[in-house]
Amino acid sequence: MSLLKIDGISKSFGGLKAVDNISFEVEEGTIHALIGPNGAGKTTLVNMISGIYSVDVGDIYFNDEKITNVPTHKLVNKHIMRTFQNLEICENMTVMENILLGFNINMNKNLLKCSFQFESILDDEEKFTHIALSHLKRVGIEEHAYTLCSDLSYGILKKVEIVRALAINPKLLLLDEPVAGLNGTETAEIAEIIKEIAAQGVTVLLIEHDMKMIMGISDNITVVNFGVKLAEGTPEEISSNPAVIKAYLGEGSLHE
Amino acid sequence: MENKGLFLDRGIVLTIIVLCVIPFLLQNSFHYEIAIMCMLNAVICIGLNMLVGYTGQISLGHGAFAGLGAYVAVILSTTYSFDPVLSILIASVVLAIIAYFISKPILKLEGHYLAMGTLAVGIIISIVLTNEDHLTGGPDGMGVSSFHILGYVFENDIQWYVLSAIFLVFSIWALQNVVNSPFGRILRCIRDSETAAKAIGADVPYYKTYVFVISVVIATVAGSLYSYYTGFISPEESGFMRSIELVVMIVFGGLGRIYGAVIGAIIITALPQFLTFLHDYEHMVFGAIIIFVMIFMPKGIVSIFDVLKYEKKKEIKKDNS
Repeated sequence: MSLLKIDGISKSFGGLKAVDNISFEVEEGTIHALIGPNGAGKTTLVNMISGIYSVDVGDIYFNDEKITNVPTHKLVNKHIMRTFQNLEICENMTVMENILLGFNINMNKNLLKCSFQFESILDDEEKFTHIALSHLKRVGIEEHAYTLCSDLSYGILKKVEIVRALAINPKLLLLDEPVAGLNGTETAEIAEIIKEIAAQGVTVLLIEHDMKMIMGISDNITVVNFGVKLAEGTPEEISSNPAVIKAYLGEGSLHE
Repeated sequence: MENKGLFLDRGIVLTIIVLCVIPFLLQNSFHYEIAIMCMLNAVICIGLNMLVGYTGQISLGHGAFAGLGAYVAVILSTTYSFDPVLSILIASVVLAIIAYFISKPILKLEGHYLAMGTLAVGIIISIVLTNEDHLTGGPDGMGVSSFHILGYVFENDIQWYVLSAIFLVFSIWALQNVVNSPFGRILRCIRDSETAAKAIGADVPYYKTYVFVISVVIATVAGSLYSYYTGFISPEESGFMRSIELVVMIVFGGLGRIYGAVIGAIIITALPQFLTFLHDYEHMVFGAIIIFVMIFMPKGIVSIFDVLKYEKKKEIKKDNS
């Protein structure tokens, strides 16, 4: 059974059809990649799934439950988390504080209890700090736990965002270009992290440009171009699909 | 952020010590008035700082809210002889409801537009207070009944000083706890990135409204206390300049800094009094001081402490290497 089902969704900005009647399904426990040239509508698609943009036409189902146009903050309760192409990190906060934000829905946020520093608030804090540290260790950035995010490099912050999204044990993780702007070593590290996440049973919908990484780690690929679906299949099928090669990969990639 | 067992930290202890020493330096009623005014302004600024500094939502209407709240309390206790404490409580509830309904549409605005929106609301409140003279006494203001808590009458300066000081210390302590709590973390997240706040499951409009209402209630309580202290209230205290003054205080002291709001409120309230010997040049010098501080310390006056801390860190590093 598919975990996420996109059923003919469309989105227009003024006269521009950014996403036009796209359908695909993401199987549970897989890494599903969404690729396409710049401006193909990939991010728009993810923004619709995560409720940041409204859907004009069509429906989105998660576990057979309709989640079309559900506000972003409510999707978190269904354990759908996402990261962003252009970092959405709180720069004036430490890495630890950013990760703790990820635990938001599990924490007690009663203002009265917070202002009088109730024991339960402090206990929560300690418990989640502990879990956050173990998450940070997993991706190898625990030494930056108490550094201000504005003092850290782009590569580390990309990892911080992934860890924040992992905080509440998501069922579906939407990664919007997690390796954009990173160097080879960092890309390989992130690919490793994504594989590890998937191995633990988290379904990943991955949007990326880096073909080497996509071909290496994804189970299924959906290709979009100019807002329409071009092809779908395993990495092998996609890399030999003539339409895809013409639109995106270029002749050279075939022989790489 | 190791804050377990941080019941009273150094900052609070230092504040309490300073507040205990100050009365020995105050020689007359006028000095007390300035001290009390500083403290109550500081309390309003702490609430406003939570909205502007921590949540990133500007308000140019808080002077008007403080004034309106004070009027509601004062009218209840003076004209309708309610108990003063009960009047302040009712005023807080009334203002919370007003703030709630105003914040619903207005907090959809952002940045400059939010500033304009809150400014407009502030001016409307100020006009209403000036014109409804059968209730408010009009531009001349009105006298205020005496203040008592459960029969204990506040009549001299020292009593008021102690009350304001307790109120201030409590506000600092509570805000400090809130800022480092899950609630405060979401506020700071909204300031840095609303998208991130949504992505981690925070209902952004809910938090914005919550903080707006809380800051208005704090302004109401502090504003009412000030009117009871001076025994007089006029629409001037809810005017446009008053709202601007409050924002200047928190920006001058340091946005999003707990002691920034306090120090800013104290300096902006007290400085003009120290400059009176300059007569005609008073405002010019006052303005020049603000401009110079903002040029050299754009993050507010408390950023001095960051520089000191940084120097200290550097020294420690040197010693270690």
